[in-house]
Amino acid sequence: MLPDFPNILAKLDNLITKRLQYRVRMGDPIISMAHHTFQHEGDRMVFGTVDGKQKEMDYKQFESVFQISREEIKSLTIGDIIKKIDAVAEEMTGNMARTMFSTIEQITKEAGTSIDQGGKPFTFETFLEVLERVWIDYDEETGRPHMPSLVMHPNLYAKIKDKLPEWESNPEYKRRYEEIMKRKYREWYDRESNRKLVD
Amino acid sequence: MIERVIENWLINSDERGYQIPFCQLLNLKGYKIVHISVHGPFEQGKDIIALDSHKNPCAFQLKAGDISLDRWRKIRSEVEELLDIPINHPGIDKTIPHNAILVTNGTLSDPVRREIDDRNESRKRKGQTILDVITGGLLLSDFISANEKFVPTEIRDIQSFFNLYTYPGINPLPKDKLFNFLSGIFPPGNKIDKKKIILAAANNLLFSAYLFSTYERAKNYWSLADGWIIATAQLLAMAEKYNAYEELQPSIDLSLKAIDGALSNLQKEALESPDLLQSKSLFEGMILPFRTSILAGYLTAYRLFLLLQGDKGWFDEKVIDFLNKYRDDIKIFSEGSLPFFISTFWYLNRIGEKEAANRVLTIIINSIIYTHRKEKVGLINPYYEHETALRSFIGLLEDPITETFVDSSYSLDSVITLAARHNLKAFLASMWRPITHIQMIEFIPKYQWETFLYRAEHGKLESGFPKQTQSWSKLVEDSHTNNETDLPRGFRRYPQFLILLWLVYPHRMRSAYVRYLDDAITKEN
Repeated sequence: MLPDFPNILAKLDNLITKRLQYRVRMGDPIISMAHHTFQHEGDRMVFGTVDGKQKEMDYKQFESVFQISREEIKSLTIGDIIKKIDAVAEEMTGNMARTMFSTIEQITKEAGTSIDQGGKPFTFETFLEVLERVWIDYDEETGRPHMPSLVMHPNLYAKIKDKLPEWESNPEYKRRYEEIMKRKYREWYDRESNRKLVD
Repeated sequence: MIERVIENWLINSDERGYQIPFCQLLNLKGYKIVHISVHGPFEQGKDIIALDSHKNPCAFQLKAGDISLDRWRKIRSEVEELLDIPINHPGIDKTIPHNAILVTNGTLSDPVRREIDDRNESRKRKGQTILDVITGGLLLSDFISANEKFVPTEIRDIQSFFNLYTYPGINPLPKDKLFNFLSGIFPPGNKIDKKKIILAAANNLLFSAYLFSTYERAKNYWSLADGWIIATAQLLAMAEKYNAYEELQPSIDLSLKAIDGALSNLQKEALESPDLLQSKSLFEGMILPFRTSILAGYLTAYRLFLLLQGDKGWFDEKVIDFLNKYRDDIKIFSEGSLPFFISTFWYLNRIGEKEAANRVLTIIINSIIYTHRKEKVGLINPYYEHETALRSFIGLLEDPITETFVDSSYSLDSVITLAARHNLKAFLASMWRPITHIQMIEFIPKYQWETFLYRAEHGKLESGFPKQTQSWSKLVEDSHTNNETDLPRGFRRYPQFLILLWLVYPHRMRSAYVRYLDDAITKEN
């Protein structure tokens, strides 16, 4: 064996692995907001949906590969390694996010809550239609809604961002929005009222 | 190399330290153990009572260290009791003379040896029982040959054995490392000769004894009990997998005896402590609620263990005094700590303190609801060790926990089941709305034998929400439905072990098992 310092190398390997895990977890705003459940044992996962159905989890593996030549290793600095690891993390996060959105798309199609605009522009009407179809919960103490996150492609955002101030100031839009939110509150209240122990 | 460790272990053991492994040796030689005195000083000079392979009664007295003439004079009266007082045990015919054996892990000095020989000659002439002696050299060769002869597979990881053997005994038990090591002794394959299983079980027990000596020496009875619980779980896994309960019963019984001894010592120490403080650290107050909760759980679980194995002396007033004294000092600190509180609930219920028992149950449910719905963090799930939970509380985690726990609970189903069985209708009704927001999770091993493992390779993690509108009568009906096929045979054969398993493997608590144990504990109440 050649002279070596395995403890130092192991410590650095460990640090970079942790950075990779952190970047994968936090690299996408939606993934970072999600709950993370670890499966500590076993080989299957079955979960119940809100409508009482049971579904089997389809495990997916996310991986990314990068290659470094022996020649390259000789001159790699910590900064270089971090850059490479961050690139790997970004690729993995991107893959995870795409898979997550395609799963959401599939689930919403099955549940009948998806809207296909058929290429039409995203308008305030579209926004209200989306709002109508989602389930909104409220804070039990403050009564404030837990508003869902709206995720859109940067191109779409570029198209509508100039319209947002107008949507916010339009009294008719405001009235219709508030009407929907009142209905959402009543729906939430009814849902909550159903959560009870009966004889 | 292992031989040197066994030698080191044997030399450094006191008589309690090598008692259980010595019994295992006797088992392997065809003896049937009838009685072991694990609770302290020997009874009538007899630490172990056994029947040899010809059904002759035998009484053993165990000593540690060399026996010089001075020491011999001090112990001679005990040895005379060993020889002359008949064995008083329902399983032994008093009219048959018994063999008397003095065992020491040290040596006998020459004068002692001569005196024993002379006395034996004299006793022989009078037709009396003579004293046989087993000394350290013979013991050592017996232990070594047991391991050489009986290890069915090579020890996979010698390094891990040494690491565990030299691990500082004052620490909590490293369960994952112990489990991994003992898994190396577990016979592979699905069909295996019963003899090999018996030998594997014997090795499981012997290696456990060597490894746990570090806790024995430190008088760390908490970790010692945990170690023996894991060793017993491994034996039950073998018995369950290979349908070998009959064959492994002697080893399982010995392992249960070892647990009994460790828990008895833990209880003694806890009850004798004026305030549960033991070190000089300024920070000890920070861990006191954790220590108190663990002790409340272990003490009550120990009493229930005794109850379920039919010990008439299971009730102990001092345990009630302990619970009353420290009632305001206990803390639910993770889902892994919930079995401590459930055990307390059962103990109180069993002794008739139903109101106090139900209060414990409502505290558990309130605590789950509060941490999930108000604090919005949840309780650390039962897969994390107590030390991790403690580190998390005081900000000493080396690596942050990246798993989220909010609105998911591995224990909720079990405690709702108990609340329904114990008629806490008004309480559950008041809590039902927040309860329905929390996902109930449980892990179901694919094979029953994997229930006894620290981590099961096969099985499914199942989750679902409680019904939003729930019928109370249906809830009660479900809570009383027991399907025996849900249970490993080991639980039915050794119900007293189930509650101990949860102390060490809290992730094995499932509502199906809770229903079974609730029946077993409260049925005659």
